[in-house]
Amino acid sequence: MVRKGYFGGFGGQFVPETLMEALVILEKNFSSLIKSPGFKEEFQRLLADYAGRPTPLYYSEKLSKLTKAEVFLKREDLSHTGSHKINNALGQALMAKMTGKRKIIAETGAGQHGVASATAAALLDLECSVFMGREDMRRQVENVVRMKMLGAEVLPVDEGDATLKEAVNAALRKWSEDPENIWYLLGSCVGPHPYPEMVREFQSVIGREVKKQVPAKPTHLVACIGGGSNSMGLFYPFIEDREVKMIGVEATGSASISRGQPGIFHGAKTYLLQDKVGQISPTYSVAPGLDYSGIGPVHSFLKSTGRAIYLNVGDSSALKAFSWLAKNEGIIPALESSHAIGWVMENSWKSSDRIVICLSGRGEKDMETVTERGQV
Amino acid sequence: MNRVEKRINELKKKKEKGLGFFLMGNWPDKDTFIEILRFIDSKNLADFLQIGVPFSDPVADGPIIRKASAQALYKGATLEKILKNLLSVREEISIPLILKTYANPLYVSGIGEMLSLAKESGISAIIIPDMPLEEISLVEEQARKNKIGVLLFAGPTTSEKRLVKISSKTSFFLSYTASHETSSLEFEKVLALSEKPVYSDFGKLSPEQAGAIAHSLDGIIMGWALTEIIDDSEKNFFKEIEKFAISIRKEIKEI
Ligand SMILES: Cc1ncc(COP(=O)(O)O)c(C=O)c1O
Repeated sequence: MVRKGYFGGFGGQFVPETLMEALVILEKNFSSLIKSPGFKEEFQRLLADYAGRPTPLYYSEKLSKLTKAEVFLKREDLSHTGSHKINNALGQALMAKMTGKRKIIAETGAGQHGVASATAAALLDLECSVFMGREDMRRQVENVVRMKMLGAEVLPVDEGDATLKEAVNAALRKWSEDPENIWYLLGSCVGPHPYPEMVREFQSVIGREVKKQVPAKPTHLVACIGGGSNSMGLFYPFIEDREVKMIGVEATGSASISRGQPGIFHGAKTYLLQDKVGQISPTYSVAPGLDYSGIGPVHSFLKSTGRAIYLNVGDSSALKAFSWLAKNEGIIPALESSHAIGWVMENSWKSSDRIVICLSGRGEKDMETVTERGQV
Repeated sequence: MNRVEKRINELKKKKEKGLGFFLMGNWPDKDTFIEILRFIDSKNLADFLQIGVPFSDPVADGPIIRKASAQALYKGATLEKILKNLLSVREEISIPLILKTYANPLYVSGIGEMLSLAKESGISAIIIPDMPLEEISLVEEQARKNKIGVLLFAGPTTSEKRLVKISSKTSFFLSYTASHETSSLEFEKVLALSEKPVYSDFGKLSPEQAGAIAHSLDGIIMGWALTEIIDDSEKNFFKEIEKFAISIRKEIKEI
């Protein structure tokens, strides 16, 4: 029997009872709105005229020369607010608005999802609070200022490592206090059903555009993995094209799917970085958006079937790719996206390979970090 | 018969209201935890106890239990160690025990193995805050095998239809996450809908609030009340626990 909200053995709704009714309503609203012409039309209009879609697929001559393959960059960095996060934020915020919610809450690591949520909230006249770990607030100062500029409240989280995992905990707690009036705008393909499916739906525009833009069928799709939303957005429309290889690149210090074990966390059964008795491990990455111990359940499923493969690279590969792309292509990538680029640069390729990398965001937010790390 | 089940039934028969407290397992340390357990048992300060398992990310808990959870983890507490600690005093303690754990420590340590150890250690029921009705089948079979009851939560956001389903599925009684703001009208509704006795499960209540809620329901469970007392008092928290428990008992048993 296929259970609702499950992908193979992964997924589910492992949340406190307080949130169950909210999830049931969310699921109902999502499945009816996603088919409604009113929503579809408005979402399309916002993606095009407001967020600047479609984003270009850029043939990178220099990366192609370096790898001796054909390399394309999907330019999510060029969309409004500077990352793919805007696709999901607009989709969910529009649904929140259409279902009569006045307040959205969000978690953020790199601040990109926080900025995207604050942006969508400003546009749609919604109140917005963003939970962010204190350590991430320190690392991503520029995005904190942007969120405040956009009228959002940024709530620092001091627990644990004060990064993304703790920000999700705080957002879940806040949501439990008033699930009837708050829309939790979760930023990645993680969490309880229907979030993984909903975020996948909103991010799939990435892969659908790539399909139309790429001159011939790609051999490899490569994306960085935090919770797994830009990767899922790129991969999903290609899932039936068996000959297209899909590769998710994690950060070595937060490699939940390439180095973790299955467990139950933040609403889903999925791969996690944890100890032998089920305590969630702290993570580390130079890229705050990858600094998370879990991963979306659909990725766990794709790993189990072998449809996608998952591996990881460390800070130094990412930092190297960051500098290289800036100096050679004049594109400053987000440190998150730099992991995907770094892996492609280090791998060996055939001339017949046609690689699409998701350049999930731009790196302006990372200036302080790269300066600290001696890249400037 | 299962100890929790027996106690709940006796109370119901005597038309007496029940009282349960939560204690974090192996906290403030392994030995003091057992002393507290013995103390509550020997003085008959509660009808049953919930024994908590610390978790790195306790999303359903407030600051007091989160702090105790982090301290217990720091000192090396695990589900298995807590159960083994309970096993060592199993013969001496008669108070019914409910294990309260998040899903992951149980899942990763092995549901079958842990529930069988739990049974050995005198646990009669289990409650898992992040395993709602939809997911509870994950533990049901092993719980049944080990004759451990599976308790479920409901709360003010639970719809009537859902509450009926939950109350028929939960073993022994329904844990209702009410607050002191929940109206007696709402309690009456819950009680009318529920197939099983209803206990309010809330962090801490004053004796008056406890009395008022117990008046409407079958009993109360306090989440962090004792944790706060233990954390606050520098030395003799035994006396404070006794004082507090007696003041609550007095209010709820006099109805
Ligand atoms: C630019 C960028 N890329 C990637 C990620 C990782 O998230 P996901 O795996 O959901 O795409 C983030 C998260 O903050 C991000 O800001």
